[in-house]
Amino acid sequence: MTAEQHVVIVGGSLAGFSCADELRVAGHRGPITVVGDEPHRPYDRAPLSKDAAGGWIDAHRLRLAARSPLDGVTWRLGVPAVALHRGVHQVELGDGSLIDYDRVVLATGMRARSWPHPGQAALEGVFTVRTLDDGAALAAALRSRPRRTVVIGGGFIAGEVASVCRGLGLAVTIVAPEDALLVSSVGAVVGEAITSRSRSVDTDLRLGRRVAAITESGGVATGALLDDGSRISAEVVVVAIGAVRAVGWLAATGLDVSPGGIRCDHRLQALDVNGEPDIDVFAAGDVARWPHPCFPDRTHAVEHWGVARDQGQFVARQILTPPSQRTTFAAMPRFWSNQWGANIKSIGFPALADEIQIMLGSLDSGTFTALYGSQGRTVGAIAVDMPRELEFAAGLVTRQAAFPFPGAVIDARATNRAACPARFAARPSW
Amino acid sequence: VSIRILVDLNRCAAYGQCVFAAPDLFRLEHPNVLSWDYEAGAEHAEAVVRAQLACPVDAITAEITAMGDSR
Repeated sequence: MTAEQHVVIVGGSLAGFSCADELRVAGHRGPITVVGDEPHRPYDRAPLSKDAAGGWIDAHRLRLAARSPLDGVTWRLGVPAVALHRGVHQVELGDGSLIDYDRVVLATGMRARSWPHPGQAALEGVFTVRTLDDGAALAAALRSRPRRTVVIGGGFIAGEVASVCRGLGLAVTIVAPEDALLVSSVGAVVGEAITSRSRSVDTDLRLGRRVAAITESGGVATGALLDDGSRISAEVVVVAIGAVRAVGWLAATGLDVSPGGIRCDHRLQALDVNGEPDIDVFAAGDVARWPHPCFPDRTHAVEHWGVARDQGQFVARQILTPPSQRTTFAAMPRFWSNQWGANIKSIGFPALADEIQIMLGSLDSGTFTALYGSQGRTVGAIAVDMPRELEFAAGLVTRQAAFPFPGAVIDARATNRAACPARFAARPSW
Repeated sequence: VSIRILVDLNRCAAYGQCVFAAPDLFRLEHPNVLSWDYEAGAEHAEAVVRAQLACPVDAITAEITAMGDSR
């Protein structure tokens, strides 16, 4: 492949942008085309459920910073890719145009899971939070100071949006089927600690409950009817029930694609249905499902900001490397969330763990570092308001250190929580 | 707009050095929660570079365009 190869990146968000930028940083001089279904230049999605929702920063001023001049990049924005024709090396767009590629990067990300009742989803006052337009609309709605907001869902986006509401002094109710917030991502032990923080700022929690219907009057949402028959009156309803991978356009490609992602090898080359890699097709970000070298028996598709950025950059380097010399994507996933005034950071794969160990701090204080273990090894760590302390735990995760951690541990759930001597050894005398 | 700023919040450990270096652009909303302006005018160029250099974990990407918005 010549240095002038045409790289087509399908997906104009963080993974695609990072790939284009890294190609130029790495010295690629050939043409690059970025296809994106949103009309906006690449922007950072993460603040949409946080500072942008609160109006503290403008949703329209979140453009991603590049490290290269990004010259010679063709932006095909506002039009989706509808098909990939691998045999002839072309991407087909929704306006019928065909783009020839030498290498293609599949980075179409996810879209918000819509409320399952389309009529209710379309009501005025019902929002999802995924795109810039979503974020700007939600910010405008919150700026009008609704008497109450209902957030449906118990995950990160739900917590962030509800937290923003409280930050604005707005009444908010969270309705989620789980018994604590964030359970699927961090487990119940940490989830309950986060839930306590949310309660301490007067968030109305309806946990273990489902929304039976979003209620309305004249096409405008009026609140939610819960499965126990109770009603919540609200002017804003935020549907934060997860996201689905935008992979439908790849159905007829012969690639191994499912709602769980595009199956890739460890080099992030897309695999076909026979398990053979297509050395000209890569995936990056939310859509890439790949085997992490620490867990080679399974594949993961990780929906984190950092994975999108890391994989976008990694794929750029792979593209510029002869197929026989391509390497393994081995970075440990990391994520963060800011909610309830707390900084939550994670590394590794906490959800693979069955055990947890509070290593520093305490659950009661809401400030702690927790290790996650499985089968005697450390597979993940989460720090709540301990971003600097996380790095020690990150080392344990990266080298899959023995679990539980053999050092002195303060388990906040233990009955004996009295301070005990640090027992510094006396300095030896010579 | 001639400066774009992106902070990798996976790297950021809230040391707060950027807040000292460029208080008009970076702030700690809570002890460990950083917020910043994604876009800034050319007059902040020096401060942004100071913040980048001060960051102990190299979390700040700054795109400084001499001729304003070129893309």
